Amino acid sequence: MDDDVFISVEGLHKSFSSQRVLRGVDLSIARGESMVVIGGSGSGKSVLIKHVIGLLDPDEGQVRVEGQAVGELNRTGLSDLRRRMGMLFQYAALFDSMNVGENVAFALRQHTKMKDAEIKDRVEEVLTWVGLEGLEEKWPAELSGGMKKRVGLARAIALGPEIMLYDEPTTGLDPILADQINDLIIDLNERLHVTSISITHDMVSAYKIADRIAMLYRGKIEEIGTPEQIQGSSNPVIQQFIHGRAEGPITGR
Amino acid sequence: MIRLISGLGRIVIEFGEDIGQVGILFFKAIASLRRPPFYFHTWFVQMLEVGNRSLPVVLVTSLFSGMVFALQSWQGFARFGATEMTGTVVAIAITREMVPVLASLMVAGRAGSAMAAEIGTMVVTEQVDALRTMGTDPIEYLAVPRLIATSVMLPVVVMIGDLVGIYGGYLVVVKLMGGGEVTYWQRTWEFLMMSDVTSGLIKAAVFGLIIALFGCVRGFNTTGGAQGVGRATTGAVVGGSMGILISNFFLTKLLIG
Ligand SMILES: Nc1ncnc2c1ncn2[C@@H]1O[C@H](COP(=O)(O)OP(=O)(O)OP(=O)(O)O)[C@@H](O)[C@H]1O
Ligand SMILES: [Mg+2]
Repeated sequence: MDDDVFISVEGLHKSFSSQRVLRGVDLSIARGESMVVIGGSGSGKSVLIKHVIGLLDPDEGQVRVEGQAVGELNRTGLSDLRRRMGMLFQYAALFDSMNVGENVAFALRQHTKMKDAEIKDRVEEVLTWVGLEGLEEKWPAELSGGMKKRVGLARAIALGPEIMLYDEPTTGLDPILADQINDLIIDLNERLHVTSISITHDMVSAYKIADRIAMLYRGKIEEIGTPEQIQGSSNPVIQQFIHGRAEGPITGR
Repeated sequence: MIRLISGLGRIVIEFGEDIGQVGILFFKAIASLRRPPFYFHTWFVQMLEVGNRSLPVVLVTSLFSGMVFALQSWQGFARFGATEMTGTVVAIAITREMVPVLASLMVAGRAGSAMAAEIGTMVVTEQVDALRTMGTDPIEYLAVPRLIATSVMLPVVVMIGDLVGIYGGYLVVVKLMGGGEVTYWQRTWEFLMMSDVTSGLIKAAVFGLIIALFGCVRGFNTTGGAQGVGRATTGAVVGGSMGILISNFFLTKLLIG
């Protein structure tokens, strides 16, 4: 792994009223790296990546992209940074007033001078990548959960981002589709040198797509390492989680 | 009784909180109008939306307000044999006060609530966050078109409402009470001043702005799921209506000079 730190999370704290969700998260991600964050439901994984793209402001600490603190960017700085990022939301967050094609085309229309025909081609292309070719005219309400997820993914990658944030990219997909999405994520990382942070509960996917895996536990990074290191970890918290056992230190049994 | 007072207190407190945010949204919207991007297409779509939503209710409201007001004034004037003045009074009351206020209250119920529901749903389903992540400012994309749409369209529908209201007065005076047709129109146009109409239209524009501001503020502040959207919707109607009624006093004072 090279030392070129691209994204760094430094002592990040975040609470919602009295609930302390993040209690000092430290994490650094190299350019081109695929970082996977695992952790229990409600452990704050979604909250963590929302800080990376400036949807939430830290109570303490910060997230830096290329050394620049995201929370301190002005309007235009933040907007420019966001154009270099794509985010797949956990529940897809498709615009329900637009059909699939318009959803995917949204950022292209907003931020490029591409002609309608070029946009149409690009939309077709990214929809093919996620296995949904020809569904441009469908409405979000007509799609299954897994289809929405993939449209969300297509929308996030349409603009060709340098940084991708995936919030549970394979949840709700059958194993074959899940693997296709894994391949797509790997492809983006390898061919287009995308730097990514993925959140997942799907350990098969985590081992496959990760350069490194970090586990979020009790508001901090419990351990971080390559898939092999994580699998071979002697930390009982890690062992319980990756093997999905009901008994262990996490559950206190 | 205690319930009543605490309920009233809550409304007043919520209204006070809203006012602050309404002010902030207003200035942010103005600021964003000084630089691109402008989503003209969305402005236009919202105008049609507001027009479509409000025209039917405004027509009914105006027609019956004109009719009722004519009936009441006719009875009043009959006491001192001045019924031929009914047309004048109807025209002035309709254009200055009744249609602008009543129509706006109706539109607050129709369009303001719809705005809060739409934006509120987008907030709770993270669509607003998705907009942000794509580098689009929700204020420019969602709020500004709605603010423009209501403040442009309300004067338009009020203008139409004015005509319909005056026509309602005519129906009552001439067709129902047997007043003279020529007198009615003469008395209407003779004393109706341009400033009566324009002051009503200015009010309508301001009320339109208020409706959309409350609709957007409540929408953006939605928390929780479907229940939260419901609260946002009613909040937008209550806040918008109070805003209209209270600002009406100050506007009237200002416009009378
Ligand atoms: N906007 C918010 N307001 C209040 N509380 C929040 C908010 N967002 C998240 N939380 C709380 O923060 C905690 C962590 O939420 P988060 O969505 O990050 O969990 P997660 O790790 O992504 O879980 P899952 O795997 O189930 O998606 C939860 O307890 C949640 O209730
Ligand atoms: Mg989550």
